[in-house]
Parts: sequence; C-alpha cells; structure tokens
Amino acid sequence: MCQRFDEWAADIKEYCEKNNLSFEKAKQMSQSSNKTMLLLQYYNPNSESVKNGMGLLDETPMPAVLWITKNGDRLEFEQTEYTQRYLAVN
Amino acid sequence: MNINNIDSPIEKRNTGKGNPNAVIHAGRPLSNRQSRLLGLLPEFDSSVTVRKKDVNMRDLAALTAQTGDEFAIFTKGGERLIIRGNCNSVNVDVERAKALSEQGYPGIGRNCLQASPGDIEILRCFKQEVAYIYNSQGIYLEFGKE
Repeated sequence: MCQRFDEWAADIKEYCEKNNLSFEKAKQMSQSSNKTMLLLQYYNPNSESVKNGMGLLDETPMPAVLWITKNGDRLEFEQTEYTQRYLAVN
Repeated sequence: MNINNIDSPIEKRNTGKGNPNAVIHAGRPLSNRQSRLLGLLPEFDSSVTVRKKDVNMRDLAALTAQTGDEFAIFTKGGERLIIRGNCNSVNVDVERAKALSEQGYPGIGRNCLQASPGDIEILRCFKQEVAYIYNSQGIYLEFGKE
C-alpha cells in the first residue's frame, strides 16, 4: 500500500464501514496519490492492454473507484460510478 | 529611484514564462530551455537524450500544456531520455520498456494524471518502486507496482 493509504487508513476504514463498502477490497485497489489526494483505481490484469503488452500505447485510465482528498484536517470522499461495483460488501 | 533604472522590475520577474499553469491558462510562452527542448522533439515518437539538469517534470508539464501531447521521461545516471507522444499515448510498449530497462534506465515518469494499466505494466519493467505522472498543470500523482 502507498504511504498515503497507510496514513489515512483509519479514516478510510471508517468511511467504508459507514457506507457499506469493503475496506479489504479498498486495500487491494491500485493506489495513486500526492500530498493531498489519494485515488483508488481498479487494475484488471486480464485487460487486452495488459495481455498484449501495449504499455503506454494504451493509456486508457483504470476505472477511478474512490477519490479521497484532504481538505484542512478532514478527508473528503467522492464515490464514482465504479465504487459499488468494486468496493461493495458482498 | 526611477523605476526604469531597476534591473529586474517586478513586472519582469514573475511573467509565468514556462509555468505550466500560465502556459495553459494565460497563454504564456515556454521558457527558453523548454522551447529548445520542444525543438528537439518535433513530432510523435521523437526522442532526445539530454543532461538530467536540463529537464524536469515541470518542463514536461509545460510542453504538454503547449502542445497537448504527452511526454515520457526515463532517467539514467546524469541523463534523461524524453519521448514525445500524442494526445492519447506514448510509443512505449512493454518490449520497449524492457529494452530501456536493460540499457540501464531505472525508471519512468509520464504526464497524464490518471494511471492506466499500461503505467503499472511499464513500471514493473524497471527497478524503481514508484513512478510519477504529471498533468499539464504540474499536478502529480505517485503510483506503485501493485
């Protein structure tokens, strides 16, 4: 997991529990971050792009599953059209 | 004191020249070194190797702001290889990435903000554990191999 996810893990877990999302699944998502933002994306190892070794020739972004932004002392969470599909508790 | 005698008046200091945000939002020009770099990268798949100190990710962000194209950067010791892409991609597949890694390039940077599966696959070809992607405004995200 990236450093930002580790730092914000407690808040992310709390958000997941309150919103019936799986924190365990969130931990498995691909993670991109900077000082104030963390983006969880779904990485599909079976995508045609990966299987064909296209690399940067196909830069179709991975589905953005959950945006997390630090605003002052609090974290703000933004769900996407993919949140339920990839993070819902089964 | 006459303002005309000041060697570097305030209005000259912060022109936004070469600032990615200023390039994209205010139409400011590239810096001299960014312009020289772009001249060496005239089209898709153009590549150039320069000294590490002659280019950074902010420069690439400015080039993207100017051209709308993506750029990939590979660093090896004191030099950097820059490859120009287009608005959608850069011509670096897994095979080319492995070849670059074998040549001794330890890592990659790119400038389109949201990571793709290809970004992860390419990063796995190199020794570095994380890579960075920047957008044309200079905002970056760090991502890892897993």
